[in-house]
Amino acid sequence: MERRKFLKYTSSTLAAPFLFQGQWMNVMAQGPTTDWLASYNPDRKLVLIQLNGGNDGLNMVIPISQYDNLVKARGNILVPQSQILKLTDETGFHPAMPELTNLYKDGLVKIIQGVGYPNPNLSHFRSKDILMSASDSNIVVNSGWLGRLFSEKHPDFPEGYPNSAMPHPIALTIGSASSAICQGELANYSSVLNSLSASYSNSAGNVSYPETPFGKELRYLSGMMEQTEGYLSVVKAAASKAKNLSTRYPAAGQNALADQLKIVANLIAGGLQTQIYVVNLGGWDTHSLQVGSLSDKSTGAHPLLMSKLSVAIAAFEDDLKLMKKSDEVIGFVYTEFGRRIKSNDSLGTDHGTTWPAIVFGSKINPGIIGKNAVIPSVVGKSDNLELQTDFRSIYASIYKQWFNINDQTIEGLLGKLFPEVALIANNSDVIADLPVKSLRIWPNPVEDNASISFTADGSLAQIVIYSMSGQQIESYSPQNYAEGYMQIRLELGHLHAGVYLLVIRRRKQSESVKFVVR
Amino acid sequence: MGLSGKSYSIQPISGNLNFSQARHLLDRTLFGANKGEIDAIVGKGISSAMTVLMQTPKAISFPISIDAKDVDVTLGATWINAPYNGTYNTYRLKSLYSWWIGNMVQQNTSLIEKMVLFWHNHFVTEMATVVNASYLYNYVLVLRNSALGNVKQLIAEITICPAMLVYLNGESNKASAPNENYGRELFELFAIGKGPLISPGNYTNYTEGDIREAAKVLTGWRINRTLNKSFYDSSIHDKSVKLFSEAFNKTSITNKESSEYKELIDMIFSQKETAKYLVRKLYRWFMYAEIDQNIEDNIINPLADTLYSNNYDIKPVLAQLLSSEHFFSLDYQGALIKNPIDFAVGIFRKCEINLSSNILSNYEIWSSMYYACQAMDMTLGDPPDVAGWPEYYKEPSYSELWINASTIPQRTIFSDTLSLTGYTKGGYKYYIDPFLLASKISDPSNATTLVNGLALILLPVPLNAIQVAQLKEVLIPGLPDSTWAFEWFKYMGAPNDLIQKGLVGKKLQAVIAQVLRFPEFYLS
Repeated sequence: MERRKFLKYTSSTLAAPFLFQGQWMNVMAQGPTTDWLASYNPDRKLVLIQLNGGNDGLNMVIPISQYDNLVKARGNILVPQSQILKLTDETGFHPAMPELTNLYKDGLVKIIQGVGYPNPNLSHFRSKDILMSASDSNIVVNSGWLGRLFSEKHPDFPEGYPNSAMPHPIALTIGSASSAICQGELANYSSVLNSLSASYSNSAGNVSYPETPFGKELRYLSGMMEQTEGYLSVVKAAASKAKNLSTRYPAAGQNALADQLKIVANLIAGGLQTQIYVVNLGGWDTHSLQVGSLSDKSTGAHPLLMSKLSVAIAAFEDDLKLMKKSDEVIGFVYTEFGRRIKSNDSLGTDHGTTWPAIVFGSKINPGIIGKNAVIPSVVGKSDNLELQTDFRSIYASIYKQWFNINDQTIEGLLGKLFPEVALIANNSDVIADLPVKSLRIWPNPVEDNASISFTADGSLAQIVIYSMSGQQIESYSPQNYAEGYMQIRLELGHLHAGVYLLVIRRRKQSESVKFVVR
Repeated sequence: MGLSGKSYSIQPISGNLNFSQARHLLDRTLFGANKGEIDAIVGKGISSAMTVLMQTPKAISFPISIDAKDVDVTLGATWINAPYNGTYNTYRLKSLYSWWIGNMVQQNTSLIEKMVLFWHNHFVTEMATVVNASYLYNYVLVLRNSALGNVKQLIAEITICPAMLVYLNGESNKASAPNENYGRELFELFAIGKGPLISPGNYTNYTEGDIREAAKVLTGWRINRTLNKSFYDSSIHDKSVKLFSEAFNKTSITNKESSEYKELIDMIFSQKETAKYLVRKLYRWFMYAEIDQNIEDNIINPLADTLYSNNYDIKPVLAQLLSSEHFFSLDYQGALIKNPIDFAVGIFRKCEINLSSNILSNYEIWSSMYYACQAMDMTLGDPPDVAGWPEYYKEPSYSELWINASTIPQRTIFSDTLSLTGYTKGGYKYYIDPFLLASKISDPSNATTLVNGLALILLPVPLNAIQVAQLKEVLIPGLPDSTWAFEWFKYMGAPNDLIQKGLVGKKLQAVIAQVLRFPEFYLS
């Protein structure tokens, strides 16, 4: 939690395993760099919509082409073919989702079929962990896929946060518990908000914390109390600066997801710079009675949930459009697993494997990726849909196409590279500019001085050194370096022990590299 | 012994309990202990303190009808035997969780209430899913009856209780259409726990195949909706031979009709791993979340041996953990973040808030406490899912997850209200009487003694110098200590002078509110 203090006390036997436990740290140590900082666009926001319980995707994105065999496998929960809302001739949405169907037709929706991972785990908790951490199914990783990204950019968090460089929450979960997605190596990066009316003031007077379990928890509590105070005020300020404009939200309390998205829209319109928002809709574990009855299979628990999802997203997009914020936001709808092809006799479906992902927003490259699953005429109880796209391909695509993070960093964050899917429209201009990383510093850790090298592009460039909390420590005069390989010697003996970021700023593409001073 | 900073010994501490040891023991085993309760075990040896904690709890009353709109039951009479009514059920659920909170508030020095909540977090059902208040009352009763009894007995009763049959679809688990939901959680969450996935469908301790076979064993149980009871129906029971994997030495279970599920439980509990899994959960509940190899070897393993060799009787293993030098290590005192119920009920108990003679008012305050805890992210009767509250299993943060920018203000609102204004229900005011608390302190006229004395009762550790100064600044801002002595004696000399009493009382209240805001108060 306190990187600076850790560095001061590197001989402490307590701190070392605490920082470097687990194999992910090893991957991290070699992999990611913070190059993406330079090309980071603060206006780009991501809303994660988590469907808790395991969505029966086959009942949401229905393969019309397979209808006859679907009747045999799950006739007791299947809507009549005539009611399916066609997206293409082959594929359609469940009739509970007319709003999302319209958004699809307006070009705001991307569907990715058959999302999952190899060697699936059918436990809610484990599968959710895998989704959150982006690990392989046989490896336990405690950090979340976005938490690792934040660990790179904000390694000292929560110590010293909020601060003038980062006055707003790094991520925000609407609800009452921090999302595991935002769990970093040492801290969870998500602030939590369950309503905009909470108030808080505290004056904890603690100064020193023993290196014991008691000391660890006391320090955590004190830090959270101080941080709570800081973030609540900026969040409330953002909320009061703008109002929701859409009239399409249901009345409060009717649709939990719409209520949460309404808060997100309000905050974005009010200028909150937080880029990650996590919202939830529970109830998708439909082992029984997912439809109302055999005689009416278009209503019931699952159609109601799908309707809530559809209404909430449509209201949110409408709001963003009226606020002129559409281009800043994309949403990603996911779940821990899909359900079996064959329904059970309780008018429900049991835990399965793959599911359709939905990504939405005005910047989306719309359409359907992947093909309809082939449903055989005889389906066994344990049969599952085939895996088409690893969920980490979507994460990698979001990292790259939405947040402009380069492949090398993505490989470090996800442990390996995954094929991209085309999520964002007209993004090629941004991606094409990402050069191969050229910036190097040696020796590292540096002693009194160090050498750096990089590939100059003939235009103006400036070397700057930052602390890991984002504070500028040193800047050198901008210069026109001649095109090609460039090597420079820097005097760094005056820097205090710690981790720093060396950045070379260029008009087209900046680069950065971390280094340590002993 | 027992005063060392960090001990990994499971041996019982020797000598008699001092005040801070007694407070540590009771704050962990009760929902907070008041000064009198702590004093009552100070000077006792650890084994006699255990005898007190293991005593049969005092009898509790039945939950009663608290809303006149429930015309099927007389107001104030119990509803537990009344037929289900979809309209009145809401009132009965409110009665049930209020009654449950009331049992915690009114507990005596017994482990029972903390263990009932432990088992609720372990054998989870959710009120929102089960709905029927009579089923849920029966479920709580099953937890109570075996809370300090035998785990195998408890899980056997839980397996076929109506609430669980509804919650994990046991009632729709038939030979013709198996439903794996309960079978899966029986392995994964309720008994043996999941190991690493070593090959497709093989979770080391059990396999997907074992889940399917267990689901067959568990077929045959239905609910009589008139009597609110479960019963066995042979016609839907799978009578085939069930074959289990290598994890269970290829055990086969043949048709035993209504007693067959007990054979399944015996099979799972014959694995030592089940004892270890349960002991780790007990450890995280009473001790601390992080279990390293040292603790696994020196604490978890001997405790698991005890649980296993006592055929899953719960008292010996609890006594061993709670008597140990490890439990009393100073490093661990105050290391457990209180869950919201421990926090809220703890304020009631530690500050000795008086209840009303009107039982309906008391149900109202208990209901308010239920909602306050819900706002702090813990809804009694409704854990977020079948795994229970993530604060007890979710690495690496565990109980730190209780604490965030939304729950901290909720805790503050609750503690501030009880210390500064009180909650008024049915004309009765529930509040912290600052003079009652002050009366527990040796010399409340001395400002330093006063603030340290409050901390001795309320906090797991002494105040630091900054906190003493801060609290005195609240009590007598910018004034010498003698000012407080003067005002206090003025009040003592004329206790019926309501103006002076109000003046002194306001100051005391502000100090108590601040102590309850300290991060140390969030710890036990």
